[in-house]
Amino acid sequence: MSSKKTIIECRDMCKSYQTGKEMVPVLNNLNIEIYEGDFTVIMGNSGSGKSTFLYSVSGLDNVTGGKVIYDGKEVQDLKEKQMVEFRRKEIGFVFQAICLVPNFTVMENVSVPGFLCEKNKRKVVDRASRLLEMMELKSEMKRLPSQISGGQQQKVAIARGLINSPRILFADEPTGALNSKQGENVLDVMTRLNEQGQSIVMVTHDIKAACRANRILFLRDGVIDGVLELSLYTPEDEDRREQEIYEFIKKRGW
Amino acid sequence: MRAILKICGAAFRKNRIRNLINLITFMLAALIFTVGIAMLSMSQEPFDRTFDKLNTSHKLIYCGDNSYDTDDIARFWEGREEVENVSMLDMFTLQGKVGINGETIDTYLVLCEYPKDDDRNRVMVIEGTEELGENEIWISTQFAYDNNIKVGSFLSTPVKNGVEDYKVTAIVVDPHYCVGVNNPSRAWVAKGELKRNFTDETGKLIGLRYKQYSDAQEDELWAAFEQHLGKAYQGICKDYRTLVKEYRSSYSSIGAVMITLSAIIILFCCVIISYIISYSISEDYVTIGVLKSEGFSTGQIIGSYVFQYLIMIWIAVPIGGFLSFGTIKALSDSITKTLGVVSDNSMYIGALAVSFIVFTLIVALVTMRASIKIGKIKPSQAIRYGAPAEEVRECKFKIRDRKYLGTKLQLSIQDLLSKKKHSLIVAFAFLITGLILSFAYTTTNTYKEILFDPGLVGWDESEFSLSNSHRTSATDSELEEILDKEDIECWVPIQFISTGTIKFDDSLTRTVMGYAYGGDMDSVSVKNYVGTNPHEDNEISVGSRLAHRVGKTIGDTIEVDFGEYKKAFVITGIFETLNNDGYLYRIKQTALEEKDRLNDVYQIVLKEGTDKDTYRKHLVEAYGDAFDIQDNEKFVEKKFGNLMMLINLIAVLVSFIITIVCIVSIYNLNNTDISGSKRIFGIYKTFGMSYRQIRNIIMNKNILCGVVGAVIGIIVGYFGTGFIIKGIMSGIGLYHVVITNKVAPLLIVVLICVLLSIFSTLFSTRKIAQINPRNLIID
Repeated sequence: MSSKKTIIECRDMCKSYQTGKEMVPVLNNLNIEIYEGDFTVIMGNSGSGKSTFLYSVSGLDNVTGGKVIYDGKEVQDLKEKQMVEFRRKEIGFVFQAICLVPNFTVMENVSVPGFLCEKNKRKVVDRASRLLEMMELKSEMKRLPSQISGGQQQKVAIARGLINSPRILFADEPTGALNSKQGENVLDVMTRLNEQGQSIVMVTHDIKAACRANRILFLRDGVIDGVLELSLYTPEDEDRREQEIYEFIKKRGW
Repeated sequence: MRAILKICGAAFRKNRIRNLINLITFMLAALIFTVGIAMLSMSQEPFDRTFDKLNTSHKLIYCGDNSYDTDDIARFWEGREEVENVSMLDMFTLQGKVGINGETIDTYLVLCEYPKDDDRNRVMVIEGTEELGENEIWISTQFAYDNNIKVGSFLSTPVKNGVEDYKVTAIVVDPHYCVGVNNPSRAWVAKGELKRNFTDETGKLIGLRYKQYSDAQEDELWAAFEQHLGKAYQGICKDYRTLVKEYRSSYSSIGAVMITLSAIIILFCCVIISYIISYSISEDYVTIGVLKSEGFSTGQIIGSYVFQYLIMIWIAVPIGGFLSFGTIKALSDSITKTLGVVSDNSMYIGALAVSFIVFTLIVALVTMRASIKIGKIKPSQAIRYGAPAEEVRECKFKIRDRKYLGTKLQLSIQDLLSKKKHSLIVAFAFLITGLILSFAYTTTNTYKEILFDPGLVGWDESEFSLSNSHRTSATDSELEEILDKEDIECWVPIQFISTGTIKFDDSLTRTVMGYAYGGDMDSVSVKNYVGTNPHEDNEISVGSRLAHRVGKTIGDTIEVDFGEYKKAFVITGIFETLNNDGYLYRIKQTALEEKDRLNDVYQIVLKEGTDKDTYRKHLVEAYGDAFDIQDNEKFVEKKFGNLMMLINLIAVLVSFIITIVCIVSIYNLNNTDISGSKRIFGIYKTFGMSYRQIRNIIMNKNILCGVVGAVIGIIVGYFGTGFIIKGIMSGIGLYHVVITNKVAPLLIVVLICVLLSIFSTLFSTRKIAQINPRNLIID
C-alpha cells in the first residue's frame, strides 16, 4: 500500500471502439491508481491502448465500462459544465501532434485558456509570461507557431497545459514528433516541472523518455501487464534507468 | 465516363447535407430567375400579338363634336404612304350615371357601332356572344373588371328619351382600352343604335394603322398632319406608344428587377460553389492524389466536380421552375384576363428553358474555374502530406487582457479576421439579404406612397370629387349651395381642358390635358415638387414630363393654344403626375375667357373629424343621384390596387426566397467552416472550452458579419432602390420620386439578419456538441 495520495483511480475501466458493426475492445477491465506528484509513464506496443488510456483517464474520451475516479468523483458522470471545469482547472494536456492554434501567437496560445477561467486577465498574462520565461520562450511570444521550431512549439503546448495550474498534466508522446535534441529539451522541462511537484502522466514508447518517470505502467492488449517503480530521475542515473527499463520489458517478452 | 459517375456518386454520398443545401439554393435562384424571364416576356410579346391579331389602329383620333372636317382628315391620312389603313367609326360620348344591377356608377364611355364585316379594329370576345343586337352592348375587359360587370348584367343607360337598359352580351378585348387608366373607355353597340337611341349627330372616331411603327415617324406624321390642318389638333388622341408604355412599365420593370435579383443570387451561388470546391479539393487532397496515381487524368477529376454540380443544376432548375409555375400562372392569368391571350404555357416553358441553359452554362464555367487547381496537385505530395501546405498569416488583432472585450468576443473577431474569405462570403450573404429586404421594403413603401398619394396622380388632398358633368339634375349654383355646409373645410371647382395645345418644338404640337382651378389651389393642397401653384392669371404649373419635353423650367414662358385664342404663361411650379403620361398643366380658371369657364368637378376637403362615409351617406340621402361623388382615396386605390398587389407579391416572394437562401447558405458555410476547424475546436475543448462557448464564438462571428453585411446591404439597397425606382418612374413621367424609407424598419432588417445568423449557426453547430475532443483532433 503506497503512502502517496491517489489522484486518479481506474476501476474495471473498459473502452471499446465501434468499427463498422463490430465493437473492438481496447481497454479491458483496467484497474490502476495514479498518485499525486508522480511522473507516471505509460508504455506499451502500438495498439496496446496507451493513448486510449490517457484520453480516457483525462476525461477527453468516454469510457464504455467501469469507472475513472478523480478526487473522489466519477469523471464519466460529470455534467457538461462540470466536465468543462474539470478540463479547465484540473488537467493540462500535451499532444504528440503539438496542436497549437495556428493563427494564435505563442502568447495567445498560452493565455487564452487562462482567460477562460481567471477573471483577472492581467494575472493570466503575467503567469503566461512567467511560464514562457521558464520555457525560455519569452523572446518568441509574439511569433506564430509556424515561426518557431517543433521543440519550442511543444514547450508552448506544455506552458498552455500549465496556465491554469492543473493538478495533473497529461502528455501523449510529447517527443514523438521531435528530433532527439528537441525531445531532450522538452523532457528536461517536464522533469523540472515534476521536481516542482507537478503530477505528470505521459504516454511514450521511447525508453529514453520513459526513464524520466518514477513509475512506469506497461500496457499490453488493454490491460496492465506490469508496473515498474523507479527512484527520482537524475541525469547521472540515466543509463542505469534505461537498462532497468529495458530488462523489465525484455522479461515480459516484448 | 462510368468512373466519373462513380466518383460523383461517392462525392454525393459523402456530402449529402452540403449538396442538398446547394440544391435548395440553386432551386430558389432558378425560381426567381424563371419568374423574372417570364415577366419580361409577358411585357412584350402578348401585347404585340393581340394588337396584330386584331388589326388594331396605332392611333385613334376622337372627333366628337364635328368641329373638324373628318372626311378631309381621313383623306389626308389615306394619302400618306406610311399609313396602311384608315378606319372611321360613328361615335357618341356617354358621360354620366349608368345603373348596373341596381347600383349607379359614374361613367365616361365612347360608344361605337361595331363594324361587323370590317377586318380593322377587331375586338376579341372573351366571354359572351359574337352577335350584337338591339339594346345590347359589349364592354372592354378593363371597364368590366374595374366595375365588376358580368355578361348578362344590364346597364341602365341615359338615352335620348330617358333611360334604357342595355344588356351586356360580351366582354371583349379592345386593345386600346384593356390596360391603364382609360378615360373615356369604349363600348360597342350594334349598327344603327347610336342614331336610334343616343344622338342624331354622331361624332367620328378615326383609326390609323401604320405600315411600320416608330416614335420618330409618328411625330413626323403628326407634324405634317397639323400643317395640313393649318392649326394644332385640339381633340383627344389615343396613342399606341403611350398605351404600350403604360402596360409594359410595371411588368418589364418588375421583371428586370427580378432578373437582377436572381443574378445577384446566382453570383452568390457561384461564390459559394467556388468556396466549397476549394474546400472540397483540400478535403479530398489524398483522394485526388490516389486517383491521379491510379491513372485518372486532371480533366477526368475536374470533370467529376463539374458533373457533380451539373447534376445538381439539372435537378434543381426543373424543380425551381416547377415551383415558379404557380406565380407565372397567376401573372399570365392576369394578362389573359385583360388581353385575352390564350395561355398555352409556352411562356412558362420558354422561361424554364432559358433558366436551364443559363444555369448550366454558368455553373459549368464556375466549377471548371474553381477546380482548375487540381492540375497542380502532385500525387506523391498529396498522398504523403494529406493536405495542401497551409499558409497561416498573422492576425493583427491580438487576444489580450482587454478589460471591456470578453475573450470569446475577441476570439470571434480574430477568427473573423483570420478567415477573411469565409467572413467575406458570410457578410456578402447578409449584404444580399439586407439589400433585398430593404429593397422590398423601400419599393413597397415608395410605390404605396406614390400610388396612394392623390397629389401624384394629378389630384390633390381633397377627400371627395363632386361632379355635375352630365348636368341633368342640378345646376352649378345648387351644387355650390350644398358645398357651403359646415362639414366642409373648403372646396375648389376644377375645369378639365382637353383642347389646349402646346408646341413641343418648332414643328410638333401636342394636345395637352390641363386643369383650370376656380379657387385657391393651396387650400386643397395641390402639390408641386418645385415652385408654387399659379396665383395669377398668367401663371401656370406644369407636369415634370411636359417641362422635360419642352425643355422649360420655373420662370420660363410657355404658350397654350386654346383654339380661338392663345395665351402665354409664366411657369411657377413643376409637379409630378401619373395622369396623362406626365403631360399636364394647371392654371387659374380666370385665365380662360369667361365664356369658356365651366366647372366639371368640385374638390372637397372635409373639416377635421368629419367622417367621410357619414358625409357621403348624408349627401346621397339628401340629394339622391343628382351628383357624382367620388371618394378620391378609393379611386386611386381602385386604379392602382392591382399593381400594388403585384409589387407586394413580388416583394414578399423575393424576400422569402432570399431569407431561405441566406439561412441555408450560412448553414452550408458554417458546416464547411466547422469541418475545416474541427481540430481547433478539439483543442478548445481540451483546454476547457464548452460546446456553448465554441458555438458562441462562431455565432458572434456570424452576427458581426451579419451586422456589417446587412448595414452595407441596407445602404446599397436604399440608394440602389432609389436609383431603380427613379429610373422606372421617370419612364412614366415621375422624375422626382421621394423614396419612402424609415430608419426603424430598416433596423428591423438588421435584427432579422442577426436572427438569421443565430438560427443558421444554431443548426450548423449542433454536431460540435456530439464530438469528443479526441475525435476532433485526430480526424
